[in-house]
Amino acid sequence: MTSLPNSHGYFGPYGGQYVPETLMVALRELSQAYSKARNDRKFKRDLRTYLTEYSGRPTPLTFAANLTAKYKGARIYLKREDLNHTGAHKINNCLGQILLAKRMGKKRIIAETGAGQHGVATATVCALFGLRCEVYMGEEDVRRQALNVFRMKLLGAQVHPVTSGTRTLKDAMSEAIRDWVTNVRNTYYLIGSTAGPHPYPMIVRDFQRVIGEEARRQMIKAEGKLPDLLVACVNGGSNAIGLFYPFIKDKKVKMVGVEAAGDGVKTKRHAATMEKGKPGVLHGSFSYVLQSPEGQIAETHSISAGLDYPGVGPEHAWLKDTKRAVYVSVTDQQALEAFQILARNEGILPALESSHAVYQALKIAPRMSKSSTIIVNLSGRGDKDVNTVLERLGSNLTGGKR
Amino acid sequence: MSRALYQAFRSARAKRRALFLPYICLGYPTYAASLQSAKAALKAGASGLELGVPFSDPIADGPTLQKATQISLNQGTKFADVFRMIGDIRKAGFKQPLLVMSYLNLVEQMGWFRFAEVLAIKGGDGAIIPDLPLEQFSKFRRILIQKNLALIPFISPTSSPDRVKKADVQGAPFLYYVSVTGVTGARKTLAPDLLVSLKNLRGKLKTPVVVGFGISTPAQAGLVGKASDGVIIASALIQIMSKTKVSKIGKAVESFCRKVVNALR
Repeated sequence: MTSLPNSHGYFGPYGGQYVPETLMVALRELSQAYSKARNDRKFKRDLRTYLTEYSGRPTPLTFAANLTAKYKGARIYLKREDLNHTGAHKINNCLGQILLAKRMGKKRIIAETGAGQHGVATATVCALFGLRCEVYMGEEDVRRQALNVFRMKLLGAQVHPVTSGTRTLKDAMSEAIRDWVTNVRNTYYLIGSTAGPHPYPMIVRDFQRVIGEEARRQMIKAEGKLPDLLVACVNGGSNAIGLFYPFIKDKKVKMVGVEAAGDGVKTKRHAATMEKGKPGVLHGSFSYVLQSPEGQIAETHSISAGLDYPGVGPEHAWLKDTKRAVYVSVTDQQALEAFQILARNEGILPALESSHAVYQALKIAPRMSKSSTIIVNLSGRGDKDVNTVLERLGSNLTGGKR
Repeated sequence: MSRALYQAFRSARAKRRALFLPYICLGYPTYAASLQSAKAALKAGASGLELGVPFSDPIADGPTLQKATQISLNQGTKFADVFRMIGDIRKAGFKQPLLVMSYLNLVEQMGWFRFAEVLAIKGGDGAIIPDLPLEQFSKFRRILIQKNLALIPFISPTSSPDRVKKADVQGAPFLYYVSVTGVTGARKTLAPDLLVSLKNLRGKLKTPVVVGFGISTPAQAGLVGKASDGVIIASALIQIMSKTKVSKIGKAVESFCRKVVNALR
């Protein structure tokens, strides 16, 4: 299973390269550059150095003692991707891809962003390496994540608000692809998730697998054994695949991916692609897609801009079909609840995206034995979401209670 | 039937005259107006039509087509409307080839077999799928061929020689050459090296070459027509439609298409 994708970029039936002909040469160029880089000792050493000395890896695996005591079940550990430079796991992939872009001699970097975390991480590495950076972001997300927009600008990036379609991540990605088609000769498209055409889902996974590799070592050191359960939020799926991938062969380790149920999967306002979608082609890849019966891509909703995409990475689709991982969904309300529980009990403000995973872990933990363990991927920190949470909780929030 | 397409290109080459294939966006600004435009273009002497089905995420299209697509979708345009339009065009007595242009997901969801069956029954001639790569071509081409329908490969300025060759051996009635590295849209000038590239390309190819993306005026069409087997115009036509009252769209389309047809003589 670890040899996936195959040489054509497929995980079972999923993946592939469904893009206009103009981009095929760029994908081939990228595949070739990456297959050289991944085996290059200097490339690997450089990446390790930046991950350690710039981003602050390894990130800790924190034992959530208070939550474990409160929920009286499995021992809950948090993989602290929120402690990375720029506040989320996105930087892992950006450092890898920027080193790749540099090797390829590209001078201009473009990216799409939803919550703005990937945009900020991209702007950051572009500042670090002195490359021009342009980020596409849906107008609706620009509004929701004003702080991240400002951060990108401070880092010297140009932010293009996208006004087409639903004005969210999906449209930002469409627009980034259009830019790439136009400027393919000098531009590197730095995709932030395990979505898009091959080789992106593989490249992003490879640069994110450091999460799971570290967590595996850390868990063995802390508990002397592998974890029983991994929980991560999933949309495009980069943080989840980063945690899951190094455990795929360990059949005893269960994996749960948590999608955004928004207002609930029985309403139309959600982003539970694998629960409610069906296989189709979006942004160059064949995978589960939320769509109309005719195949028009559906509008999505989630309180977290980073989970608001109607597609999912092809490797997750394959893990679902082969039942190696299970995918569930958590509503806006439940995520908000978990956000507050983690804040008050552990002193950690999680990103709203990660809060979905926290909720699911807290739901399962009491049903597990006290000797069992869970790793929750805390993919990002919640500072960026404070405004959104304020809007939702408003004056209902009272201090002093736990 | 794809035979009509092969014949059209054979006779065009014999006459040393390029074909004109205007693009009509299904349901833009309304179904009736798009049907009227289609008929007007054919009446003006268009060699055939590319009938574009609106898709929510048209990654190969620039702002003009994106907007037209959105307006059409807001009207409630359905995939099935393209078959209805082909039927309506045939009922009006036009015999020119009709190609459906659709993004892959819509055809996937309908199912390739059903798509081929309905398209053939309604009198269509083939399909153009901009996000279907050559690597995936043959299995779908086989399905369409069984119904005597063509599947049109794309080549672009970035296509490597081996990919150009691969497109050439598909046995298609023509190759769709994307004239610019970029999305659809009217441009003031042609790509600077376009005519030279076309000359080089045609020397190497057995299959006729039709040029699309970025051709806006009859004069540009005339130039490109001298170096190719056909010309597609999309965004420029949509822009004309967008500036015209619905009641006069047919006339405006007819007059523009007539100018292009004359420029290609």
